[in-house]
Amino acid sequence: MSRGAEVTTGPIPIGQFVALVKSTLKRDPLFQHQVLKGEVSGMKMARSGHTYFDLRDDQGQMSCAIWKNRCHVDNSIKDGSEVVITASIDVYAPRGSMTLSVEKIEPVSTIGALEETRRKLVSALRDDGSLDRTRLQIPPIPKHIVIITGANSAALSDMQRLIENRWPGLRRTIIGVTVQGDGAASNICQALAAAREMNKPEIAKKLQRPVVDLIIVARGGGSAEDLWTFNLEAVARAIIASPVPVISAIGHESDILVSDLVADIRASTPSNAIERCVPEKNDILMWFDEIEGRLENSVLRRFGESRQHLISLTARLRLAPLAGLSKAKDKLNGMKMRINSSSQQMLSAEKSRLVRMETILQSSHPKRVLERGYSMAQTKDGEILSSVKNITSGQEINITFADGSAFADITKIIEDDEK
Amino acid sequence: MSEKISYNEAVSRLEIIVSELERGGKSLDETLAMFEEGAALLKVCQSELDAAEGRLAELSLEEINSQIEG
Repeated sequence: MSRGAEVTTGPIPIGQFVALVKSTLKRDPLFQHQVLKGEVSGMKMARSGHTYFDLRDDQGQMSCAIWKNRCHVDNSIKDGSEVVITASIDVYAPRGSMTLSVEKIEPVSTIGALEETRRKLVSALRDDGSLDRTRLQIPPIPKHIVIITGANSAALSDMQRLIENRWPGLRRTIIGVTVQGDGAASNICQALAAAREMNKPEIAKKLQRPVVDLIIVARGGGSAEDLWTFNLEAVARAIIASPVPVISAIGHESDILVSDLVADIRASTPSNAIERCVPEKNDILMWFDEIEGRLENSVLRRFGESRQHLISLTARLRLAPLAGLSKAKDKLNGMKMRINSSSQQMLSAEKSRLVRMETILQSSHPKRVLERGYSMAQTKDGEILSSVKNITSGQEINITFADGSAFADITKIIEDDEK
Repeated sequence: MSEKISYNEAVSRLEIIVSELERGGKSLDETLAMFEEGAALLKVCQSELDAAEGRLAELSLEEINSQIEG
């Protein structure tokens, strides 16, 4: 005994030795809060309220104690049950016996069997395409949400509070159901069926509410068994069959249940479900205000531009006649000048023609002719005689000369031979 | 606007209208027409908002079923 070397003299009293064993075992983390597996045997509850049993398998066994109120013991656990316990070792010095002090005990057989059914269900859902099916879109602003959850549950009040924060007065119908244990699955399926009915326009009309456009199936955290309802095929099938989008919000972030796998949206917690489907009303109102402002501003600006354009057009319009008038005036002046100058030319031409004509006229005046030696014969009445045919023998005529006139009697008429 | 336009469609159409109007270069008639369309879309969106609010009902399964069947 190497340890014996530490003891100075003589044999060790057994009590001291047991105390040494106890402290050594209790110091070693390997023997504390260890998860162990075995079969229950000899289970009995003492009058003190403590429960004792042996945990055994074909290799060995050890006595176990569940101190009163230390942990929950499922009713199904009895002799022969396969269990998983979390326990720490202790030594009962008066008897020198080792005992496992149990901190948690769960029936392993039921969990194992359940786990097996769950695995089978998931693979069946994968095979029939349920897991790959196209999921429904959740409405951007839900008009009528159905929340299926435990009546008066903490999850429900969390969700209610969150909805009121984000969108006060958002329309919702809460269907209180049993969320664990016997009857929970059929309860939830009935609620889903009711929600589906409320998606029908005629039913919605009867209830005087809009058709249901979103369903939340929610439950707060709990043990694997507590949440097991949401691993059941009936619940999964009801969710798959829903014509209304379903959000599954079961347990905590780490719990992934079959209902989460088949739902249109998986929310990590009931609160998360609300965050994902209920928009912040103020955000939307702010967006509206912004869009409205931008719409109005851009139109006002466009009108401003048009107005400016109109103003400048008006100004140009006002000036236009003046500009036109002065142009016309210029044109008129030009024309006047052109007329003036051309008429001047015409006039002088005319003048010189007149002079020329005057000269001709002057030169052809009868007096000039007479001056050249010609004379003019006229009747007594002044009629010019240009032919012998117009006179008769004995007729008195007047002959005009350049410097006077004389009267003569016709004595003889000689007519020129006609040619 | 033809038919019933969805909220999402109305929102994205609004975004397009506003950014096009802001870019400018449209005729006055076009501008007015787009503004009117935008205003109508806003109204659609607003009414969508109002439609989301209403009574809160907390019912047991029996109550809801009797309401549906009743």
